[in-house]
Amino acid sequence: MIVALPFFAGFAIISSFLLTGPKLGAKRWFKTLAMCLSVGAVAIGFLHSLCILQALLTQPMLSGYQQNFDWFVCENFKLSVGFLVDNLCASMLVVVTTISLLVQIYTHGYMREDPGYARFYSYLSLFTGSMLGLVVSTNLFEMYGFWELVGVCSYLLIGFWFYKDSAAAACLKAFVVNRVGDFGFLIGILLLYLATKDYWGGGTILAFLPQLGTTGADMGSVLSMALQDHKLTPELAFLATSMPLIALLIFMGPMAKSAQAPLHIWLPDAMEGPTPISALIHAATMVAAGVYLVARAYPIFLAPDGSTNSIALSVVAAVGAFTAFMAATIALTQFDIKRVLAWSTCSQLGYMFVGLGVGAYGAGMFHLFTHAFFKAMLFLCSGAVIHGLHHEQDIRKMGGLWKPMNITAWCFLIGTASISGWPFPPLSGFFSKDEIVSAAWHQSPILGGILILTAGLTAFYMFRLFFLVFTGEYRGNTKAHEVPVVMWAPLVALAVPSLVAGFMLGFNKTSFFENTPAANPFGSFIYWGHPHQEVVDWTMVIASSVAGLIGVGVAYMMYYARTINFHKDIVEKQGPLYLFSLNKWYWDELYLGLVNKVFLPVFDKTWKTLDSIFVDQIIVNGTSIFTLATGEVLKYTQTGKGQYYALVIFFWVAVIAWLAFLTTT
Amino acid sequence: MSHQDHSNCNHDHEHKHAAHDAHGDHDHDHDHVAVDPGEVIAEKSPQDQMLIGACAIAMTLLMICMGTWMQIATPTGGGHGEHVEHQAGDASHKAEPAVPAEHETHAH
Repeated sequence: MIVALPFFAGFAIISSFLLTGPKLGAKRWFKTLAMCLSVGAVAIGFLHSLCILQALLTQPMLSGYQQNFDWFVCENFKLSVGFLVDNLCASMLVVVTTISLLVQIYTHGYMREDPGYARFYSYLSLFTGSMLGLVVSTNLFEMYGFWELVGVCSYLLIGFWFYKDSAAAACLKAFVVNRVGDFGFLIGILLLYLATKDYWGGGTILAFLPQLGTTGADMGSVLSMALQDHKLTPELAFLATSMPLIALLIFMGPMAKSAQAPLHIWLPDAMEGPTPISALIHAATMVAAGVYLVARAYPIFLAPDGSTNSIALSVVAAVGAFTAFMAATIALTQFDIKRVLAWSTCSQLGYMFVGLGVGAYGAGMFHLFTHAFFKAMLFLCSGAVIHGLHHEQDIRKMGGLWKPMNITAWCFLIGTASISGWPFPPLSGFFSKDEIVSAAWHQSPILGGILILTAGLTAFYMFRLFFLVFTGEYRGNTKAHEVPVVMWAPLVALAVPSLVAGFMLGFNKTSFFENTPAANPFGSFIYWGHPHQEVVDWTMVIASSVAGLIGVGVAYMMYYARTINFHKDIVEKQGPLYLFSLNKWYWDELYLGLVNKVFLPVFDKTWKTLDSIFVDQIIVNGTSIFTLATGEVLKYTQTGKGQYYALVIFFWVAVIAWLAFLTTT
Repeated sequence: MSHQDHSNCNHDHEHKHAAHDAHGDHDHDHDHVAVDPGEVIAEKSPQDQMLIGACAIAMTLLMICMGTWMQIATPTGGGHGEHVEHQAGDASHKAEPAVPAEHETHAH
């Protein structure tokens, strides 16, 4: 029901449009109906999700439930669909339904005067249903279906204001880039099926444990059995390398969906969509689906001996660390409030992948959990600022909004402090980020160093944003105003978990102060294999906190106290590093150059060669020449003399008789 | 001014965007599509009150749930992949534990 209700709401609204025409969307009663259907569906899903989480928290024996239904059965192949609810899934259900509910409430205020109000709610519902379906999927095929559905919803929502050229281009860009990743994902799924089909009951290739009465086997056992029996070798002909290849192909999906380099280029442009969408899809849920997929399909990424020292996980960590650093450096110089947050999202998703890549499974998922709340809040705050400033998005035309937008400013400050890992008092981002940095440092000091440096950059660009928007003199032309209650209430609601979720779920007195390894409440509930138990490494805590504080301090001096003249020393000089960051590491130029200078000319030359030589010369002209030539030769056999024909017949009969004689003797 | 103004842009709006574009951030070029917002649901309407109430209730319930979660001091036994451990002694499964005990334990 959690999945079905949003789909029902979405299709009901769209069907109404189809049956009665688009003018229906202008009626107040229909807008109210669309809003009530959509919000009601996700509210029921939210309550159910909380019930599931509460049940799993209080009754651990219930943990893990799945149900499969045969969808497609033939002689050698069976495909099932179903749903899976375990601890990982339950926590994601709560994240998705909570953020979706609050975003839909906020949407009522933000899109109140938009002619596409009802249409927007229908897309929101369809997205929510698709995302929830992805979360409860029991196998990769099913997950792939929902994966594509969220991609379609994302396309529709980025291009919601389709009459804007930039929005139309952005949704197309997002769609194309995601197709590149999804192509690899699909090939990976098919190869995985090929490698493990002898052990796959058709149902639970992703899921956790075989249920009574089903033929499914869990992913870990399937892979272990296949490896032990050397079944991976003949199937794919490259024993030791096949699993990393499959894992990396599957990882291409998360790379695109979670905007990891080099498939990250769509996310900042996706900010052309309405801000509620940026908060729901491009900050908290859909982009986190890639992290969720890696977590769910974790056995595929492990080494053959089951350890986390695998090629695939190393690549995951390396891609995550590179993206975290790269996106943070780009965010330093951007001027669009939403795009700064978009680059920040890329960077924080990189942290999550590093967490999973270095084996800190619980830490990576914990950062997903806390990040969803504070990043959704930050995006909604940016929407409130844009709304309050009559659609101004350039932070150079903002400033001094602390007083006129006091509630929004407080919420933004909480989110900024949280994402920066502010330690006094420690907010949610402090706990989740610290766990990842510690784990990364112990796996590889290079990775740890990159993340610590990135923590400093994160604090700098987030506080730069805060100081430029909310402090100093107002630099705009229009009068700013606070948003209505229905818009700031979700901000306040999201501020609560942003403040306390880290302390509530990420703090364990034993591991922090008693020098004894212990798991925090989140890690005790969500883990792979065994709970993540640790003694908190205070060196790492201090290092990442100091990096963050330095970032805050520099931002304070540049943009609040103005003791450093940033514009004169850096912006006006237009140094190469500044330009490199401002131009987003020239990724777009690189892709355009590759496409225009390499791929298109090569393809152009190839098809012209193929067309002119193979098709025109060989197939078309060759056929006619052959026909002409054979006609020229054969025409001499048509003499019109009966004796000649009889001689030819006699000759061939003699030849066939002779051949028959040879074969029988 | 509200959202439809963005699409109902007039010339002033366009000029403002042109100046904005001069900074090289992004373009706001778009067609001039006349759009009618239709009947607007007023602020402080019953719908607004209902949504604000829902927001407060939702966050209260979430925090209650997280309060329960906070009290978990020992592993719940439901972690992803833990079943592999449980199956280790089961003769019907040929698989060894896919994940060694120390794999997620970091001596931080």
